Amino acid sequence: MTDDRTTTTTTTTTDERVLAICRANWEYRGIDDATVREMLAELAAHLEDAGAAGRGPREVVGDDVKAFAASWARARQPLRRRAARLAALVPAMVGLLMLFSHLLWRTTALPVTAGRLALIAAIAAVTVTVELRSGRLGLRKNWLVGAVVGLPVALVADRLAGDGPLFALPLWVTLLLIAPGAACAVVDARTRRRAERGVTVR
Amino acid sequence: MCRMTKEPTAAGDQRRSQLLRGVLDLCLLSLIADRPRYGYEFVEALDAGGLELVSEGSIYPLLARMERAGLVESYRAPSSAGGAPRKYYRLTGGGRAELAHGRAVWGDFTAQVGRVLSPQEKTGEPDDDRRPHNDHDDHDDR
Repeated sequence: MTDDRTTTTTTTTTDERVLAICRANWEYRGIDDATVREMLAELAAHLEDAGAAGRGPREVVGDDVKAFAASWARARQPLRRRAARLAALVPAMVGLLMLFSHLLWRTTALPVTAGRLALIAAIAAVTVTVELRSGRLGLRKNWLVGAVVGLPVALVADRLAGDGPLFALPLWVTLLLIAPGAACAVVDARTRRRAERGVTVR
Repeated sequence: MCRMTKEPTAAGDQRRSQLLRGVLDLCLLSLIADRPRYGYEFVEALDAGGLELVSEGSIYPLLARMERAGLVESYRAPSSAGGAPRKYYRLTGGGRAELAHGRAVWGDFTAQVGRVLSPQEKTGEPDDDRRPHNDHDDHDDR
């Protein structure tokens, strides 16, 4: 009985799934891109070695993959550094969504309604919750979340609060929201290129 | 019958696990002092020494903390087993000092615990020379 259960859990939690959950957890906890890739490489190598020795992913990361990932993230980078990165990336994500709306409506002053804010909040909440548990959703599933969760929430919010604009968001504010996250992305890209050229990143 | 034999084993495993958790950092430092190692090599070496980790990956947060504390440093190098380059850890000067200090503390600690835990002949009465003396005691004894 116990053996059957062990076999089931071992086969359902694959190395890829463990790596995907860890990646999502580390990214959402504000670990920078180069460090995430380094930690993933280290964990992937360990999982591979353990697999060759007949040990499954659960023997490596334990029963709670999220707790394992969180523990490693906390040990790897101080909260202050991770919080600073998140403070740059979260507004950037909101800014990108707003920029998409600016382009869609071809306006430099985007009317922000309760429905639009609810849409962003609902998509963000569901996406983060699901990705922390199962790893990255991918673009197609993200659109699906937007359609299945975001749109109904937006419609309900519009119905309750009215579809009149709460305020108009100028394009320059949207760009300002994106700027710190864009700087992070540039630094990540440069670090990635340096790493690919063989320079050790610490 | 089965319960009687299983329970002490489970309790023993749990105690071993707790004890190992308390000194795992020293074990890792000691293993790196021997030679630079990558993650899986620590697990193999601990296994070979009879110390099995409940969750192998628990070494990584510990290594990360030790790296941040400047006790170890890391570098990437090809693995002797082949495959992709691995992240090796080696000891720093600070790590060497911490290991020496940790070994001394562990030596003292195990000696003290050993003295307390070692089976002794119990008479039911404390030794006369260690027993606090006072008039009241003497009076009672009579």
